[in-house]
Amino acid sequence: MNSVDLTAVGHGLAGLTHDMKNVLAIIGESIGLVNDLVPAGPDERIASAFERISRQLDRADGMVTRWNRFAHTFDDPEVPQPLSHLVDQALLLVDRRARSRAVEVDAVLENDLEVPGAVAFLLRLAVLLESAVDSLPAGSRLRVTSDGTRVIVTGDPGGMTATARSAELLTDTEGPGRQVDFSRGGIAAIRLPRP
Amino acid sequence: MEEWTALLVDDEEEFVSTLAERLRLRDINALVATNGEHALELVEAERPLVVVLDIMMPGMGGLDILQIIRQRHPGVEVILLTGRGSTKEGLQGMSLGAFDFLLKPAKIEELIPRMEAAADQAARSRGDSPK
Repeated sequence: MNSVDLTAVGHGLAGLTHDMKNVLAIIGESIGLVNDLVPAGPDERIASAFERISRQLDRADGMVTRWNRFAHTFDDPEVPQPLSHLVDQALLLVDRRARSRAVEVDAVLENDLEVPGAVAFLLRLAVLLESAVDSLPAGSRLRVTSDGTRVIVTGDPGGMTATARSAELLTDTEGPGRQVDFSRGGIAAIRLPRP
Repeated sequence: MEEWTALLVDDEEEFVSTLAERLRLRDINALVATNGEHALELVEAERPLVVVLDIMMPGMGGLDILQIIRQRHPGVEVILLTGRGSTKEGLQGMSLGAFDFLLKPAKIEELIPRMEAAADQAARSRGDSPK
């Protein structure tokens, strides 16, 4: 997929998330109006239902907002973007999959920096994270860090001693790291593109 | 607080009419427009203290309307609503003279204090007592 294709996909997704936000806004204002006109009174079930709807609307809006940010990542695929933003977007792509497999994924980035070729890098990181999530057993952890020249993905299946970890390291000149066995505590890295 | 007039501008008619109804329940005389041309007509005719304006609308966009209001009606304050997940467009609007901006969907408890602050500012600039 080239950068023009990606921009088109991004525009489509941005439009969808914008419309979804409008739908959520209409639902939110409508339930707010009902709440204004029909006070909950002594029946706690009504107050509880209003609270539940409000909470779920906030939840849905949070999801849509994250996907909207993701969509705008593709506005110009060649423009450098902050590493923290790109890692966030890659985590978003694997978030549901990781939760369904009970794998905890997080990122600890001490220093942010601008990454050229941002979208290509983001997609490579997402592919790497997905393969890592798929290879880890439930209850594992996956951490994304950076040493300033690479982004490092470390799998921690839990219950392993440090010496038992294979600590495989792929510097990623050839591929996205599918061959790294994260289930044995593998580590993979993607070299950051240089300006 | 005495009733004062605000104009809500959004192409989502069901959103803007419902929000207007909720504001009227709170003693704000909320008018509604669903496009830029109608919004500018209402600003001219009704002189609201505050305009709450969606940035992303078909045809004349919110930032275009903002600039026209700032040029023609300095006594009208504008609050922008942005549906994007970032503050970029809101900050752009602030640089063009918006009083404030909120990410959409904004809660009414969050919106009203901003509207009241904007109404105070507009009233002061017109030489009226604050709302």
